[in-house]
Amino acid sequence: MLNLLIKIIILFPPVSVHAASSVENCIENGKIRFSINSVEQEENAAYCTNKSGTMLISKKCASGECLSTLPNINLNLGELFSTAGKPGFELCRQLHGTGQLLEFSFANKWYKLDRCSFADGNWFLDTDQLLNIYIKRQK
Amino acid sequence: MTLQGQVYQIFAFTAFCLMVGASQAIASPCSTSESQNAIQRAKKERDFILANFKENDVSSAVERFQSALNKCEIPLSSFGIGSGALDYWKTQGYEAVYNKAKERLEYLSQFKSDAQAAEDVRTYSKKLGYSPQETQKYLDKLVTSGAANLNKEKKDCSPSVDLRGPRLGVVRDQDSIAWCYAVVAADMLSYKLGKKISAADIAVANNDTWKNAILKKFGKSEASIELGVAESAISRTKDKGWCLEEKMSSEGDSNWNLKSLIVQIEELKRKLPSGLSGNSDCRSALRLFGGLNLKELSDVLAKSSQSSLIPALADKACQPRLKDDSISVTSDSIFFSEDKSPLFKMVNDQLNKKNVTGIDYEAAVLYDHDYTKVIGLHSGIIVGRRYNSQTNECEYLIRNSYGRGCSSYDSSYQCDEGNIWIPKPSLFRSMRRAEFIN
Repeated sequence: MLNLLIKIIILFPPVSVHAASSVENCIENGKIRFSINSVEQEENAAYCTNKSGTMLISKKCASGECLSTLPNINLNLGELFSTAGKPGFELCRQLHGTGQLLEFSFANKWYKLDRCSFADGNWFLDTDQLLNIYIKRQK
Repeated sequence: MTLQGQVYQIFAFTAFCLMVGASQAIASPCSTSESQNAIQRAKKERDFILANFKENDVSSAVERFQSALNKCEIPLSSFGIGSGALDYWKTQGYEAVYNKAKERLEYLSQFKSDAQAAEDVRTYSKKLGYSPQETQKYLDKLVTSGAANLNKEKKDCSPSVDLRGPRLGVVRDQDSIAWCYAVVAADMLSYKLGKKISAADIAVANNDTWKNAILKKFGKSEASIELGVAESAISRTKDKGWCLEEKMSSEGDSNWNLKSLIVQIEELKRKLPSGLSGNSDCRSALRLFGGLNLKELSDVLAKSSQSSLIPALADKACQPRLKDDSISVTSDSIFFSEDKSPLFKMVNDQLNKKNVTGIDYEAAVLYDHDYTKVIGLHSGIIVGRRYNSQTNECEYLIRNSYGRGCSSYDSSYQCDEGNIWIPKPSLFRSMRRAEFIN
């Protein structure tokens, strides 16, 4: 029995399906709200977040596939810091993404955060995760 | 075949013969391909060594380099290297690590004894052939002072304080503009006054100087006048009074970030110098200045100049402003000394009085607790303190202005919705300035 279990583990290793191990909560029919020109708008989306609602990523990207499509650029934190308020937003702009402040709902609670949306592939993630990806790549 | 083609063939054949001859002359115990592989491996190791030996211990790489050459009996001279180079690389690496460990141990002994740094000093001192007695004497001295300082740190770090709550609310997001100093000023005032103060209004009022008026006259946007100091921003805006966030927003929306919103409003004035017409799109102005109606907006547009537009809109929208004559700010700056103790005394005193402290610090510490490259100064407020008994370090809670996200900060920090616990040894070297409202 033990041998069988070991074989199963070898054949099907437990692989994390999420880009970040702490992004553990995913929903199919989530709601994102934001305001455009003072008019509040709501959008339905599938996304994943963590317990404290400080991370946000499109559900289809939670396995990390979209992240590998991000271009390799030489991250200059000093330059990002000097040209903008928040480095993650500036990085998003440099990658031709669209930065957005928003609120998203999870388990009947609204969380204030932001996102960087990429038109090619129609996916998004919060700007802190985006910056972290490039800081890690640089290391 | 053309003459040119024949010449090319002869040339290629001669080159091939020379290569075969050369490889046979070099490699005796290995085949040609084995020799070539060994040379490639050795080249890779040599490049790694040359890039690292001044900073790191490269002894393992030196051994791999040597073994790659020995295997096929490739002489060192084929790399243009004398036998002394190998020892030189090793020794240089040892010295670099030894000096770094010493520096770290001496720095940390201001706060505690660091066993790892002490062990590194001992190990590399031995490798370098230094006197074990002298090394032990040096370590004993630092361990003793580290232990004494640790007791002081524990005392200074007590009691634990956490000033987060409804007065401060959710961490703000400065988004597109380097107005972090204004966010700090607004957070300090909000904490004192118990009402959410507009950071954007503080920045606009702080920018309202004759020099900036000239710049704006020549086309510079209000949103491009960035950077400042929280203390002077509070002092400069005290007589005028402060604006509630609901009357002037400090954040943009999904269509336009704050910077773009301000630029849009300035555009509106250029297009409509004498006020709004029937179909004017003025939603960006109304989004930013929640305290204004359409008529008020049109009046200000008509009456103000291009350079006074944003301050004039803020003044109109923010009525009545909050005033408190009792508010004054005390500050201290230490830019050139390594000893930041006076700044931490100020922070601790204020935390003991349940007051927040604004700080200016090197932003690189947010992303790397042991940063070596500076990226620029940033502002934040200290809203908490606790002693971490696992690391034996006092930690301070920095309320940042980058929103609730936590993913990008150094992974050794605990971050809670945009508030980051940073250990004192990391914050100590990065702090430049502190200020508090009396």
